[in-house]
Amino acid sequence: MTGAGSLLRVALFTPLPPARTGTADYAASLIEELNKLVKLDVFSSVPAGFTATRYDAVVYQIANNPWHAAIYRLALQQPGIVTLHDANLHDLIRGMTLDRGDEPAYLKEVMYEIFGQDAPEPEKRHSPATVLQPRTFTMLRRVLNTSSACITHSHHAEREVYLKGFVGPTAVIPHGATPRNLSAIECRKSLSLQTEGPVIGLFGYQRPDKWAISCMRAFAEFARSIPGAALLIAGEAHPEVQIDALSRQLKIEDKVRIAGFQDNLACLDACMGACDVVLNLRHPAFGETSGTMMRAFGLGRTVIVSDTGACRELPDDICLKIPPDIHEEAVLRECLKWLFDDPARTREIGMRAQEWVAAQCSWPRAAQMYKDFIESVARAPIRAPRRAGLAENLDKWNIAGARDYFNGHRERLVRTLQLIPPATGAESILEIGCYMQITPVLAKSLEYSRVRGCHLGKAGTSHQSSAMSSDGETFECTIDLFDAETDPFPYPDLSFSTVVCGEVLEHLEHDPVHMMMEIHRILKPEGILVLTTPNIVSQRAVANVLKGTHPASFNRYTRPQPGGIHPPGHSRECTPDEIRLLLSDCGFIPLRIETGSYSAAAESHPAIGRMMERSGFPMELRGDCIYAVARKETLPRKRFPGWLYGE
Amino acid sequence: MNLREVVGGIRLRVIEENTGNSTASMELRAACEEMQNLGVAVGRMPPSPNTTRARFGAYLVRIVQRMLFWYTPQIVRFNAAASSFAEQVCLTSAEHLTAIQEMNAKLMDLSGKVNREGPAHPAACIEPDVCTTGFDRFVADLRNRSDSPDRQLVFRELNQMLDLAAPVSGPWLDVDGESGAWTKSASGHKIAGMDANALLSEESGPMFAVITALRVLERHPMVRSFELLRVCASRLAPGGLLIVTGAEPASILAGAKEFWEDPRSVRPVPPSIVVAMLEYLGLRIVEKRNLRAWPDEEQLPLAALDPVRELNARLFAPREYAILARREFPQ
Repeated sequence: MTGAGSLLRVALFTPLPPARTGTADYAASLIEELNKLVKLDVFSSVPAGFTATRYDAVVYQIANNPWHAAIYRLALQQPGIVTLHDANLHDLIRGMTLDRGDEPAYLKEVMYEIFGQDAPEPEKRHSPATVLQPRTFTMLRRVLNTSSACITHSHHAEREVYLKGFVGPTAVIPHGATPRNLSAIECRKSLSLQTEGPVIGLFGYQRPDKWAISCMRAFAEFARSIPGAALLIAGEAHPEVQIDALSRQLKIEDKVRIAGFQDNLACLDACMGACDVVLNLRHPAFGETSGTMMRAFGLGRTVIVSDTGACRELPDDICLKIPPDIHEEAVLRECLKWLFDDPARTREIGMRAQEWVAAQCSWPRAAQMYKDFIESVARAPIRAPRRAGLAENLDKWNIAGARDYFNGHRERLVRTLQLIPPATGAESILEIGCYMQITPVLAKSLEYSRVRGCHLGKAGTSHQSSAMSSDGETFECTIDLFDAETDPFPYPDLSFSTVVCGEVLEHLEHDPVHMMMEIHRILKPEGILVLTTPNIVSQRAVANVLKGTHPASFNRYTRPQPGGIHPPGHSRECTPDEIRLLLSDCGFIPLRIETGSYSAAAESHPAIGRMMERSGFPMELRGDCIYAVARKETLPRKRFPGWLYGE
Repeated sequence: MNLREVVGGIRLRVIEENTGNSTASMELRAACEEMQNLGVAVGRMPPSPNTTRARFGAYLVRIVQRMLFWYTPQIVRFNAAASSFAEQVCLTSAEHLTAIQEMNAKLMDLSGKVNREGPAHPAACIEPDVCTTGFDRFVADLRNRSDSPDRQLVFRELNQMLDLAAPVSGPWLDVDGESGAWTKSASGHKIAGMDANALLSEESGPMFAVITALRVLERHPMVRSFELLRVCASRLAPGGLLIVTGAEPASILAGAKEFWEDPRSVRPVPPSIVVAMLEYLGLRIVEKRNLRAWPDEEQLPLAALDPVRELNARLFAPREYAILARREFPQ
C-alpha cells in the first residue's frame, strides 16, 4: 500500500475503445488525466489472480452495456468504488441472467433487490416478482451493498443510490468533456456536406428511447420552412428504428446523411463539429449522463435534450430542455425554428455550454475530483454513516412530549429519516401518523419545502401543531385529521413527492389497501413511500411463541380513554414478504425492504437465534421493525388482494 | 437567457395552436392527449376507494366480473348458436334469392314459349301416307317436322299397363289416329287401324281384345266422343281392354299450350268425364295412369314451400292421362 505523500495506486476496470460503449470513450479521456494524479493500472478485462489488496482503491466503471458484465462480477467479488454511468442496471442484470435463459438467477436478483438478502424462493402463487420487472426496477442494490463507495455523474443518480439505502460515501463527479473549437465549415467539407444552411445532428446508438423517429419527423417539418437544412445521423442503428424507411416516407432522403457508427473519435468530432444543433432526447431516463451531449457541449454546439432525469440538473442557459410529452415533437420543431430564426442564438447558447464545460466538467477537474474522492475513501475507509447528523437533529427536536415512546422508537425514527430521500427542489412530504417526532427534521434537515402531517381523528378537521428544538428553533405544521382506512385523504391527486407512513399499517382494522391506494393517489409520479411496521416473524416474535406468549408486539385491544375513545391496538402485524406483496399489489415498486430494531435497548434473543440457525430456519429479515421504501410506479393491481382479504 | 422559459413559451404556443387548429390530424392529436389525460386520471390517480365514484365503479366491476365468470360459457354457447343461426339464415336467404331468380327466369321463359308461335313439343308422329291431301296432310306435315321421343315413352307405358292387365287373346284395334306409331311400339301384336267415322258407321263387326283410342276423344265434340266410346265398348270381346288417352286439362301448361298446338284438337276431355262415361257404358276401370310427367328440373324450385308446390302442381301436372277399362266377362 502507498504511504502518505506518495501517489495512490488505483486499479481502474473499464471497457476501452474500440468497445462500442460510451463508457469506453469516457474512460479513455479520464485515464489521460487521472494518470497524472494517481498511479493507475487500467484493465479492460479481468486478469487472472487479480487482488484488490495490491491497490489503495479499485474503481469499477459500470453501465448497462454487456461490456460491463465481467467488471460487474468482479465488483461483487472484490469490492471497490463503483462509478455508476446509469443509475439503473436492470438491462445489464437481465442480459446476464434472463436473456441467457437463466430465469431463476433473474428472480433471485429481483428478490435481492427488494430484501437486500438472498431470500428464499418466493411463493409463485402470490408473487408479482415472478414476472419480468419493468425497466424502472433498478437492480442496483447488490453492487451497492458490496461497494465501498459510489460515484455518479448527477444528483439525480445519487438520489437513486440513496434510495437503495447506500450508506457509504458518494460523490457526484460531472461527466467530463473537453472544450474545443472546430470549424463547422472544415468539418462539413471533410464530410462532403453542404457548407451553407443548418445541419442538425443525431448521435449514438439510436435506441427507441432516444426518439430518433420524433426527431426526424420534427426535422422534416422544419426542413419545409428551411429547405437547405440537413440532418446528420451518426451512430449504430437499432433494429426497431428504421431510419432509411422513415427518411423515404418523410421524403427527406435527400436531406438525411447517415454516417453510421464512428470508430474513430476524430471522425465523431468531425461529425459533431459539422452540426449547428445536436438533438439528444432520451426518455425514460435511467440517471445516465450522455457522453454525446457532453462532447457536443465541449464543441460549443447547441444541444436539445429531454427535460427529465439528470438533464434537469443542467443549467437552464446552456441547452434547450423539452418536456417529454405529447407535444414533444411539435415543440422540438418550433425550437429548431426559433434557434435558426437568429443563428446568433445558436452560437451564443453553444458558447455558454462550452464555458460551462470549461468551468465545471473539464477532464482535469473530473480527474481531480476522482482523485480526491478515491483518496478520501482510501485514507478513511471506515466512515460515519451518511447523514449521521439526522440522529442529533432528531434528538434536538424531541426534548418534550412522549419521551418514553420516543426513546422506545428512536432507532426506528432515525432509520426512517435515513431512508427518506432528501428534497432536491421545492418538494412536499406527508407524514401519516404524525406526532411531531420526525416532522421538524423533514423540513429542517431533509429540506422539504412543504411538510404536512395527519393522524386519526374526525374527518374534515385540522389543527396547527408546533415544536421547539433544544436550541430554540421553532417549527409549525398543519395536521389534518381523518381515518386513513375509511376516509378519502383530504389532498388532491399527485400532491406529494414523498409519503412517510410510520407505524400506522398495523393499526388498521378493516381496509389497509384503502390507505395504500390513497397514498398511491396523492403521490406524484415516481413518488416515494417510506413505510415502517412491526415484523410478526421477528426473532422476538418467534421467541414469544416458543415461550408460549403472543407474538404481536402490541395489544389488540386497548383501554378506553376519557370520552369512551379506544386508542387503536395492533390489528395485524405483517411479515416482510407480506409488505412486498402489499406494495406490489398497490402499484408500487419495492425499492428496498429491511428489518431493524426499534431502540438500542430492545431485548435480544441470541439463544433463539442460535436455535433457529441450527435448525436451518432462515435468519434473514428477523428484526423487530420492517422498513420499506417503494416508488409509485404501476397501476394498483388488486383492490382486495387474496392473501390479505381472503379469496 | 433562460432557455427553460423560452421552451415553456414555445410549448404553450404549440398547445394553443393545436387546440385552435381544426384539421383532422390535430383533432386526432387532441383526442390522443385527451386519452392520455384520461389514462392518467383513471390509471395513475384511481379514485379514493371510499368515494361514491369508486364504490359505484367497484360494484359495477364486481357485477361484470361475476357475470363474466358465471355466464361466460353460456355467452360463448349463445354466441356460437347465434352465429350458426345467422349463418344459416344467410345461406338460406342466398338460396332463396338464387331460386327466385331461377323461377323468375323460368317463368319468363315459359311466358315467352306460350306467346311464341309454332309447336314447342311436337306431338305424335302422323304417318304421311295415311292422309295425303288437305287438312290431314297439313297436320301430318306439321307433326312430323320433329321427332317426338316422349310418344315412345307413352307407348311403353301403355304396353306396360296392358301387360299388367293381361289382355285376352284376339285382335287389337287402334281408333282414329296414330296406329302406325302405336303398332311399331306394341311389339308382337297385329293392330288394325280404323277411322273414327268408319267405326261409328260400323255398329257391328269383329270383336277386339284391345281397343286403343289415343288422343281421339279431344278431337271430337263431346257427343261424338261418347258415341265413339260406346261403339268401342260394344266391340270389345269379353275380358277385352279399352285404353283411352287424352290431354290432361289440369296441367295448365299442357292444357293451355300443347293441347292447342295440335290443329285437330276440339276440346280437352277431363279424365273424370272419361271415367264416368266408361263406367256408364258398363266397363270396369282397371287403372288410371298419368303420362308424360314434367321432369323435376323443369319445375319451379323451392318445392318445399307450399305456394310453390301448389303452383308446380297446377303448372306442371302430367300432360296426359291414360285410362284402362275392361269389359267384364259375363256372369
